[in-house]
Amino acid sequence: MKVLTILWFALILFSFITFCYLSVKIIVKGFRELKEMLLNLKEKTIALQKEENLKEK
Amino acid sequence: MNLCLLDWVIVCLSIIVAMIAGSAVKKFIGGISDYLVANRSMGFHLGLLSLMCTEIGMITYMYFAELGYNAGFSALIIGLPPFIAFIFLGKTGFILKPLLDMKIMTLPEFFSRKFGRGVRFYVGILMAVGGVLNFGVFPGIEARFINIITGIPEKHILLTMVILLSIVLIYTFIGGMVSVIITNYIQYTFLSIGMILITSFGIFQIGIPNIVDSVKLSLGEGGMNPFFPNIIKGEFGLGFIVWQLLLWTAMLTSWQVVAIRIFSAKDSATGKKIFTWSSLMFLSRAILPIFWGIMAFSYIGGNKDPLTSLPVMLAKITPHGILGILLGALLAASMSTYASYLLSWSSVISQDLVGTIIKFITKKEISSKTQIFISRMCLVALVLFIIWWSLFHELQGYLYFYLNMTVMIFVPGTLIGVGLGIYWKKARSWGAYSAFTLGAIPPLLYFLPNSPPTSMLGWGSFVLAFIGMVGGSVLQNILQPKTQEQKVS
Repeated sequence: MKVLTILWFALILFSFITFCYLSVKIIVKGFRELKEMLLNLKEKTIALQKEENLKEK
Repeated sequence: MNLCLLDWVIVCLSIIVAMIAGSAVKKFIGGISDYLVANRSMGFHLGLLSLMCTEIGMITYMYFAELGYNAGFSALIIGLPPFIAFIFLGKTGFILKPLLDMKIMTLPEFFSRKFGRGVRFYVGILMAVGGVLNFGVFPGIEARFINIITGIPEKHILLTMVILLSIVLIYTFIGGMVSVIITNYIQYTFLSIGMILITSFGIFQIGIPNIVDSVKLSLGEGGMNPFFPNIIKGEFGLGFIVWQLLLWTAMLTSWQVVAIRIFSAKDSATGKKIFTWSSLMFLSRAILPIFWGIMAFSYIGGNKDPLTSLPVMLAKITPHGILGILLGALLAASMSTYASYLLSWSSVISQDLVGTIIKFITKKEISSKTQIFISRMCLVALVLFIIWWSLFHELQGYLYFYLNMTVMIFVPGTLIGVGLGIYWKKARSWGAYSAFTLGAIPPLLYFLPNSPPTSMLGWGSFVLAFIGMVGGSVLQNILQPKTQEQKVS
C-alpha cells in the first residue's frame, strides 16, 4: 500500500509539473505563432484587396 | 448564490473578450478555405494548444472526477492508456503515415476510396448514431455543473441548458469556425490557470495525509490497487487495460477532432511530433481531474452523488474571484467544444446521410441553397434532440464508460477497417460491412439491462470486428474474386 501511495503521488506530481511546464511553453511560444499567423493573414487580405481594387479600375 | 458580483463580472468578461477577439480576426479571413489554410500553417505549439482546448470541457472534468470519487487512486490508471497510445502512434506512425502519404483528410474519404461509397454511407450512419448519443448527454451534465457552482436551484436545469445552448449558437455565429484558433488561445490561458489553481487549492485546503487516509479507510485496498482482488477480476484489470489501449489507438486515428491535426500537418514529422507531445498533455488531462475527484471524496464524504462531487467541492474551496476565472474558462472551453461538435455531427447527418439519400432518390446534384437549408434543419433537430436526451436519459454506471461505449459503436470497425485496409491486400468491402456490424453489437448491448462487464464488451467488440473483417473479406474473395483490373487499381 505504501509503495502504491508513493507511486500514485509520483504520477500526480509528474503530471502536475509537466502540465505547468508545457502550458507555459505553449502559451508563450503559441503567442508568437499566433502573431505571425495573424500578420500573414492580414498581409494576404491587404494584397487581395489591392488586387481587387486594381481589377475594378 | 455561490458566485459574488466579481465572479459574475469575470465570467461575462471572459466570454465577451473571447467573442470580440474572435470577431476581430474574422475580417481578415475570407472563408472556410482560409481557415483550413491557416490551420495547415498552424505551428506546433498552437496546434497542441488548440487540440487540448477542444478536448477539454466541463464534462471532461466531471467524468474523470466521478471515477476518482468512486474508485480512489486506482482510477489514476485510466490516464496511462492514452499516454501509451499517443507515444506508440507518434513514434511508429502506425496507420497515420500511410494515410498521410495517401493525402487523406478524413476517414470516410479512405473508406470511400478503398471499399466504395456504400461503406462510407454505412460508416456515416454509425458515426451519426454514436456521435449524437455521445454528445446528447453534454448539456444536461454541464448545466448541472453550472447550477451547482453558481448556486442556481437544480429545478432550473432546462433553463440553464437553453441559455447555455443559446450562448453557444450566438458564439458560433459571431466567432465562427474561422476564428476558433484565437478564441482557443484565450480559453487555454484561462483553463491552464484554473487547473493549476484547483490542484493547488485542493492540496493546501485538504492536505495530502487526509486525502490518503480517507481513501484507505473507506475504499481499502481497492482504492489504491487497480488490480484488486487480482489482475483478471479487478475493475481496472487486464481486460480494461487491453480495451482502453485499443480504444485510444482507434480514437486517435478515427476521432475527427484529433485526426484533423495530423492529417492537416505540414508533414508526417510535424504530425508525429504533435502526437508525441500530446501524450504528456493527455496524461495530465486525465490525472489531475481524477485527483480532484479523490480530493472531493476526502472533502465532502463518500455518500454524495459522484458526478456532482467536483462542482460541490469547487464551490466550497475556491475563493471568490478565482471561482469566476474558473467558471469563465470552463464555460468558454465548453463552448468551443459545443461549436465544433454541433457543426461536425450536424454536417455528418446533413451531408453524409440526408444529402446522399436525397441524391440517390432524385438522381440529381443538390443545389447549394438546398444544402444550406438541410444543414440548418439538421442543426436545429440536433439541438432539440440533445435537450430531450439530456432531460430524459438516465445514466447508469460511470459517465466515462457511457461516453466510451457510444463512441465504440463505430470505433472498432474503423480501426480494424483502416488497419487491415492499409496493411492487408485481401481486405474487401464485405469485410468492412461485417467489421462495422459485428463491432457495433457489444456497445449496443451495454445499453440493455444486465449487460456483461463493460471491459469485456469493450475488447470483445474489437475481436468481433476483426473476425468480421477477415471472414467477410475471405468470403467475398471466394465468391467474387477480384478482376485483374481491380487488382491493379
